[in-house]
Amino acid sequence: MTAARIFVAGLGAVLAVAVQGTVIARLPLPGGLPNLPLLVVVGVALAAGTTAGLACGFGTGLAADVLSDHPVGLLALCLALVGFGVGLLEPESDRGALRSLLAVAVAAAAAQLGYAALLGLLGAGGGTAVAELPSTVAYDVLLAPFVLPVVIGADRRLRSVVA
Amino acid sequence: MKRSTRRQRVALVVLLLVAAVFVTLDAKGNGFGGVRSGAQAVFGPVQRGLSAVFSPVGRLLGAIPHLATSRRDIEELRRQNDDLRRQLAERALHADRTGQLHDLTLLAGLGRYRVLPAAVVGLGPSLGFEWTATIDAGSTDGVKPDMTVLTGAGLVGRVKQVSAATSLIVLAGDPAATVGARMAGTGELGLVTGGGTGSMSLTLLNPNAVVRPGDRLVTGPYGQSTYVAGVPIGEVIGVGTGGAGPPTATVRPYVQFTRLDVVGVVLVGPRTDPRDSVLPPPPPATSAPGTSTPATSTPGTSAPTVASTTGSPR
Repeated sequence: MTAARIFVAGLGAVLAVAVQGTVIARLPLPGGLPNLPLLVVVGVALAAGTTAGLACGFGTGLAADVLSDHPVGLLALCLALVGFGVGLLEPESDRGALRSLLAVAVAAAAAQLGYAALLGLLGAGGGTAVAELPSTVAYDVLLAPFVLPVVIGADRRLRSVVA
Repeated sequence: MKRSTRRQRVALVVLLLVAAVFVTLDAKGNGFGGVRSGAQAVFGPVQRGLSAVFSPVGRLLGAIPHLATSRRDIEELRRQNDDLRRQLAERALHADRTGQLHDLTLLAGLGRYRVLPAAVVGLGPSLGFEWTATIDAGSTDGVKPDMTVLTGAGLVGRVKQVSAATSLIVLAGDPAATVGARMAGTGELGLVTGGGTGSMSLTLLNPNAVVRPGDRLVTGPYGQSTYVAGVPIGEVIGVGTGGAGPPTATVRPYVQFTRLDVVGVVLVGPRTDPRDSVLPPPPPATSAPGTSTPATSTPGTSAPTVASTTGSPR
């Protein structure tokens, strides 16, 4: 993990959080929205492994947390877990496109459920998050083919340039 | 699936604990207000920039589900717009007509005429070269030939032919039409002949009568005139210099015969001659009506009387 890869990953995460808040949040989609930061975390974890996924998930989640209304740390916790879990799916050699999408679906569901559960624990109500679970997962899976190749391709290129 | 190292598992646990501590802190009190505002300060410009770039895209994407309904809405709104525009135009027309009707009612009230309002539906020389107008009231409404037709301003003409639903009016401006007239104030009788679109001409019976510009004329008894009495005809604007013979004058009619819209047919005339009471109040500058004898040509005594009896009909 070189400094350039960390920097680019951080930049991608920040960009994802910003785009989520400005562009995706305005889409008039029925029943929830795709989660772009989650997709970036999944992409980084798939490309660079457990440690990178964990760090990227925690950082991205924290950035999304401080820009939202819910207690800081909720998304950091969920996305750190997601990044760690997806990172375990390496090595990339035997990874097919279908498996990546499956990983996205499981990660999206887990993140959403964890978020809802934590909100429920805090008494802030996670009912909406649970109700929107299927549509959110579907949107994430639909958006993944556009996001994952970009993230993984960028990581591969950076690795080859630096190496 | 590959195994995670011990170090990675420790890192995971540490980060999860940190996140949990954050959540607890932020949920209990508002410990992250400063961090939030700092993040807003950092992300704010980025988000604004992205918004500026992507909000048209977002709006476009947002409009897609409503595309069909939008088109329908546009059609609907366009139709409504046309409708409202038409209504607005009609309202202006209605207001104009209401004003005319109001004037007509006032005049009818002053002269105690029983008037049937009607609209001019045709104007033009439909009978030879006579100046005529067609109105949308006929025999079923009680209109009969030779009835007087007027507007709020004054005399229009008389009914010449009546069908069931329409009537033909010969305008007072018709060059062949003559109207018995009486000068307001002095009561001198005369004959007013139409002049087409131009002025009418007045010929008085009394060779010694005095006519001045500003003198006003109402319909009066003369010959076989069938006009009801007291309807304003017009105002003298020029005096003829005919030398011998009866005095003549040019008269500007109160009614513009080419701009008729709402008229009234006098179904029943007044029981008594209203004389000058229907006339509009004289304009102050030319309030000196002629008198019957040249000796008493000082500013008349009858003008104020006229003004007071008419009140303010306009």
